[in-house]
Amino acid sequence: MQVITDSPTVDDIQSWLTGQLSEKLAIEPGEIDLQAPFDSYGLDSMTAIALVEEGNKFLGLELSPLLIWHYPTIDALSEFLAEEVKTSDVETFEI
Amino acid sequence: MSISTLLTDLDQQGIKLWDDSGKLRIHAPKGSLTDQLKAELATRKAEILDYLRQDESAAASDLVGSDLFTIGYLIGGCTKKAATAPTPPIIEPEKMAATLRVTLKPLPKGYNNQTVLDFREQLAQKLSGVGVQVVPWESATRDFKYDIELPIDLPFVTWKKASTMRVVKTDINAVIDVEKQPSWLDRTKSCAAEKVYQLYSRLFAGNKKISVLGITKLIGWAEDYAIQRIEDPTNTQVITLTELEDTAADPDVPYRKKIVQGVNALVSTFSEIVIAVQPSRFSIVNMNLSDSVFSIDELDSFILGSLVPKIYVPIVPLPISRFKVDRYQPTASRYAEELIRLSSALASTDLFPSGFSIGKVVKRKSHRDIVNLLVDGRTGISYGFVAYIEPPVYVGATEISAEEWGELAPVEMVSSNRLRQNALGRRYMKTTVAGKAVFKQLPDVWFVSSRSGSNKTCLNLETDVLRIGLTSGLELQIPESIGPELEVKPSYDVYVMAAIALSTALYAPHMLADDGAPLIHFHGYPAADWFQSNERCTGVSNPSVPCGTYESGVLNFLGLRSLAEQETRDIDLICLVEPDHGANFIARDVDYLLKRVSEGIQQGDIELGGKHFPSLKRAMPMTSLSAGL
Repeated sequence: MQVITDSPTVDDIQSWLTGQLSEKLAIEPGEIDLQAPFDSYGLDSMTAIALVEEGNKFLGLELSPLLIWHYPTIDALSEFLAEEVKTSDVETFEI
Repeated sequence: MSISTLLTDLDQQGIKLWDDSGKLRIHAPKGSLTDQLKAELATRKAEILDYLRQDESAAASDLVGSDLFTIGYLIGGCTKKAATAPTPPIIEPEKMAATLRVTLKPLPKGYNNQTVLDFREQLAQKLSGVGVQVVPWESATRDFKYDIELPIDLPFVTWKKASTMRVVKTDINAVIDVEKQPSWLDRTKSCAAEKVYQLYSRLFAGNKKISVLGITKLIGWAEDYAIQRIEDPTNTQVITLTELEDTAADPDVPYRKKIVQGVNALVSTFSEIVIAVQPSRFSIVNMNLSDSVFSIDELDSFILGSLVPKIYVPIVPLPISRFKVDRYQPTASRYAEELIRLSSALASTDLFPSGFSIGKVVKRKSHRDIVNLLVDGRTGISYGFVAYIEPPVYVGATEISAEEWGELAPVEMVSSNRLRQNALGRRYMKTTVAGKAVFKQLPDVWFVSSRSGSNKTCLNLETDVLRIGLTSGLELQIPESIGPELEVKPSYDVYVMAAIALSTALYAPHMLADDGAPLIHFHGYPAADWFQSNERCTGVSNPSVPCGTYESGVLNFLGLRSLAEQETRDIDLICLVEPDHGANFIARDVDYLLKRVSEGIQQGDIELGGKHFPSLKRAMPMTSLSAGL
């Protein structure tokens, strides 16, 4: 069985965020604009916190919910998170 | 090595594993997952996934078996389609305390109010004494690094600067701070920041709402003396300690005047809770507009009965996404007409002053906008609610025998020891009435209630009355005549109304059987002497969770259920007390309710504010909440 060292790239994080927003806000993934602010999709505080909790699991990081407001689009947040993953002390694997 | 031992060993090394839809995902500190470990995990993947799934399902099974989970499931209108799984309510303050983490913000330089300092020290000690973790500030906060950019897009201008701020971590439930008096420099900066905010919102924001963080970014640089840096404002509440003004503790000062002072204190300190202290007494105010003054000797009971529940249960509005939304015609509903009659007649009691518009009480636009966002677009803060519960709707037998119950199918997510369903999908609950096990159908319950932001004693039939249902889920029916320009928000009190409607149908059904029943909530109490032999009161010893919340709904349900231990057929009025917050009355009909409330007001036995609560506390024995299901 293969053990994949799985350090997500910007593209991986973008598609993960798109999937999460689509699931949590019941929007078709194709309708999500990577450069549109999260709040334009009606992302409220509770859902934002839930999104960050999922992100912590997915990336193995301890993310602050404040990131959503400081990096308020999928594009901006994905770039920031990909940098964080690179400099993180945690490795992610998938079997 | 067993899987359990392996996972414990890995956990101790900081290696976390979980089931990600059939894949085993692993987070490990760099270099800690050796080739040998990787090989072992790969070989034992199936066993590990099985173990993780069993662990999850055992936790879920403990959860669904509990009495409180079933009640939470029922009043929450939970369905498998709901975005959030029902959580088991916690209603015992000791259990709440054991989950809480609070921190004390370091005192500002030169702070010397000795009364507040003494109280702060006692508060920390006593919170710790009841099991709350008091976390040192350094451990409760962390540095948050981010880039500052101009909040507006200007052509050919890009400006970015890295910045760091100390923020309170997400797992902290409350920050305890002291109120600081702004210096002249703080005031000047605040004034300038307000102008910047007003200009920005006029020129650049247009009709677009600015988030709370957006607003705090624009004004926060000037509000450092008051504003808190919090990662998760949905979980972390700010508690500000301040000095108690004599008027706030004076029983002769009208409740309305005290509450306006209280709301301004909350908003100007950016707090969810303000505790105002004097050497011998103190008061607490939150956005529920509680009005309670305690003697310093009552600090122990205050911590467990009042403060811990308020920290544990943040006030969060029920989002409209939880409802199946539809339209209805209020002019064709005689229950809506009864509600209008009730609400008009209540005007003369003064128990329902029109609340206040946030715009009139909060002077600064930035602060108003923050409060507006926090209350989710509701236009004002009200002093209660008025509702009318319709007769419950049953399909088939309202009660069945134990044998028939035994043949029913399980209901997903809930223990089949408590809830089952027939072929038509009608659910039956096993419960206890007057000491006997009975198997009752859960009816569909509907009630009409005032729209959030409306004047409770001057309702417009065509636009102010919403119809809400608790069927297999939560339903919201909006008047047909309301156009898209009016954003309708369900009341904060839906959980409580739904819980009372359902529990009355189950445990005091005669009150709804003829033609439904009126239900009101006001921010005051009746005196113990006011009650007649055909009236009951319960809830006086309940923890004072904020009213309208999920936990408050569960406590109201339990209160009504506790009455079913005795004969309920002769009861014409039930008072469900919510300590610190007021009382709910449900009565057999509108005329009886109006007559009794009017008598109470004329005799001075019913009043807004906390004046009569002590008499209830003296008169009512502790009630057991655990009997029933």
